[in-house]
Amino acid sequence: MDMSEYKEIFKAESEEHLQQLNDSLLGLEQNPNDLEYINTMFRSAHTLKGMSATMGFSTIAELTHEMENLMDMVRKSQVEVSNGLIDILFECLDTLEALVEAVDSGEEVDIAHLQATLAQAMEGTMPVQEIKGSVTASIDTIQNEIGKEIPENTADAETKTDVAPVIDNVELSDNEKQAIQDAIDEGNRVVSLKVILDESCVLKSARSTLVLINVSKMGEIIKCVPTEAELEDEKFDLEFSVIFATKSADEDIVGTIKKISEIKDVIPTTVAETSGVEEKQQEKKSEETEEKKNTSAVKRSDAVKSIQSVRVNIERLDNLMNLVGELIINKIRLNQLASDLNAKDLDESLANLDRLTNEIQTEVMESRMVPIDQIFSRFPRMVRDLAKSEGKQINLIIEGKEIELDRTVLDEIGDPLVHLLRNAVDHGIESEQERKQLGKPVAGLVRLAASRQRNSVLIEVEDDGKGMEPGHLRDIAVKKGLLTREEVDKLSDNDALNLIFMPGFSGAKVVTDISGRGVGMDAVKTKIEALGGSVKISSVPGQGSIMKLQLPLTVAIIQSLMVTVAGETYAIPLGNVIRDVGIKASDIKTIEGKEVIMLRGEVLPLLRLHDVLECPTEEEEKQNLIVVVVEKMGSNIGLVVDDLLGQQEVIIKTLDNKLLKNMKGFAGATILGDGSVALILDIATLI
Amino acid sequence: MVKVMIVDDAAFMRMVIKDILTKNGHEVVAECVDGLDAVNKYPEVKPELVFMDIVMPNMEGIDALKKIMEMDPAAKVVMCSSIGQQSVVTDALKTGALDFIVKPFDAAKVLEVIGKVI
Repeated sequence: MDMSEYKEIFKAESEEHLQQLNDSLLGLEQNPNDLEYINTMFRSAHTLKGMSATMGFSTIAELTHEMENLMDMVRKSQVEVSNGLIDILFECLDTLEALVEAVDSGEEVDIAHLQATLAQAMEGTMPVQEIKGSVTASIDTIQNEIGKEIPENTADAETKTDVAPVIDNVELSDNEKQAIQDAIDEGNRVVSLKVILDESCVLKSARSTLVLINVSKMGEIIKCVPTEAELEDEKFDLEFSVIFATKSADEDIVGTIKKISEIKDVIPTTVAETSGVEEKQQEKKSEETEEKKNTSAVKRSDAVKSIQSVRVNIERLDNLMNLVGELIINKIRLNQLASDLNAKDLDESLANLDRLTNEIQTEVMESRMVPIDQIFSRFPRMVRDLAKSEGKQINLIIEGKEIELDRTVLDEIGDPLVHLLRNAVDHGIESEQERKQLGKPVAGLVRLAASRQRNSVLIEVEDDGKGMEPGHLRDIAVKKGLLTREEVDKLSDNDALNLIFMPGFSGAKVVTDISGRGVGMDAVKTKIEALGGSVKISSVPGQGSIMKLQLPLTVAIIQSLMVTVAGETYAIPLGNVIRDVGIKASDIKTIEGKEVIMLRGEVLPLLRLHDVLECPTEEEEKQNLIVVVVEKMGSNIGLVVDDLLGQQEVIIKTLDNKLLKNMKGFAGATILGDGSVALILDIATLI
Repeated sequence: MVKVMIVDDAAFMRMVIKDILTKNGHEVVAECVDGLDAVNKYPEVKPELVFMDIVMPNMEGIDALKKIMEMDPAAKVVMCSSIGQQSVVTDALKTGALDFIVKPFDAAKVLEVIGKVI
């Protein structure tokens, strides 16, 4: 059977189980006696075992099998949940992750070392090991015994009426002899049935049980060799015998038993019978069952289908989103044509098209939404490992993991969140000793919370650590040569906090191997803003910091304010826009060579998009100017534009070819209703 | 053609079994994610055959089997087990499961079992 087509789903589901294992293990570390975590881990390991065996990934199957055994021993209190055990299990999970990852490359991952460690972990439980040993030993002896007890059947075993004390060399007790006698008196035949299983049979005991169940439907079992208990314990090789009283004919018996799978051969031998066999009764019975079968088959044929969900490849959803985008562009185009042609007849169907495309867009967007838990779920493990390596105690609180975000957004925010959490643990939370001296709880608190706002999702990363001192941040900025002393002194305390977002700024006194990875807070901010989101920071020295990430629900389609500059149309994402105002050129003042205007009692710096975009300026200075007020890094800036065209939803086409990829200031391009292309301004990198 | 209900918490296993069945002319009338799901769906779906995993969250296969046998003593249930589950499979058979297959299984095994129990 070709299993390669199942690789993707195997990987996806294995990753889910690994996550569950990780979560449960973290839970178990906190509550070593909680049976639910142990059970969940047992189940996940077991499921993984079955899946990987089916795929033929024997290393994964082996490792999960041993983990399952270990969890089973933990469950039965044969192994204690110690720190050592937790660490070993974490190592198992990491190795499993690597193994699942290596499924594509076919790379070998060596698990011998881990298996040795696992074996050691189970070592603390000598009794179990001993039992294992004795079981194998006794199987051997039983195999020998069976060999002696049941030699090849011979036809001359047909002893009539008189009950022989020994059948097939099997000794019968007085009770058994009596049972055989009674059976014969009631008109039965006594049959000794030798059953031989396939060599490939895996669960021999269960197979033998199935045989016995079927035999007991045909008659009354008098004796089994080996005994039923021994059969259940799998204390036999491939064959066993059952002596039973029956009215069924040999061929029926053989037929019934051979219908069971994994049966190699069935050899019946009549050991005792009376002359009168009541076959009629038997026939009647089988007719009855035949009838029953028929009626139940009729009843069942009206079965209904009920499959509620399917898995869809993310690429499909991306394509679908693109198609919806194209559809919307065409719809806008059509609207424009209709109004150009003044074709009133089209109004109604265009309105319908409008509604339908909106609905499709909403549906497609919804189908792309995934719970934020998909990335949140990996953080408990990360925070635990971080805290452990730093010798800190951290309580991680996660809220709102059910909140949903577009898959694309979710894929992008993982790294920024990792960075923020690392900062919180590494720089935010004080050492245990410091916290004690400060009278804070020894365990630091890190809170990761998501909540749905109207058209966005808010993610907060909060810690109750040492917070940030604006003065200290000013000093660092000067020391690193990012700003002059005069410049930093002019900054408000809030603006001083925003210094950490400057490229080249790192607040850490000691660069640890954890946070000092070259991805600064500026990278976090750039990434979030590229998604159309924003980052805000607030901090109270001595009490902790809180980072607020505002994220759009989707990145593919955004509401934009359309403006014109020097005859070209540009889109400004509405998320950045505070408002638009009309001003008089005469109201513009100049501070330190920069244009500003007083607006509602505040100084608003002005930027002429003509200059920013390096467009030719009109010769004559206009008296009335249009300003779009946008927000950047918590402060407002006024963009002077030529004209406002209004709000519109635009489909973002990314500028990801080689030439345009690294161009700053543009989030992408979009196609307008008339087929022309407009650039989408990226306020974060433009100014 | 046999109408089959698949009960397994692993979507991967459901997919593998389903493909084996549908490629060989059988119909999968329901897929259940755990025992509870199976017990709920059984009466409305009325499958001719159930493939039942054993280790599952919420309700284990053996408990689901018991409930289904209570509802419909003529129910045809085949257990899907892994190695190392002798005793549970034995219990299941005593409860009324008609047969079992052991993971990893191939198409031939699955089809053989269907041929034997139906």
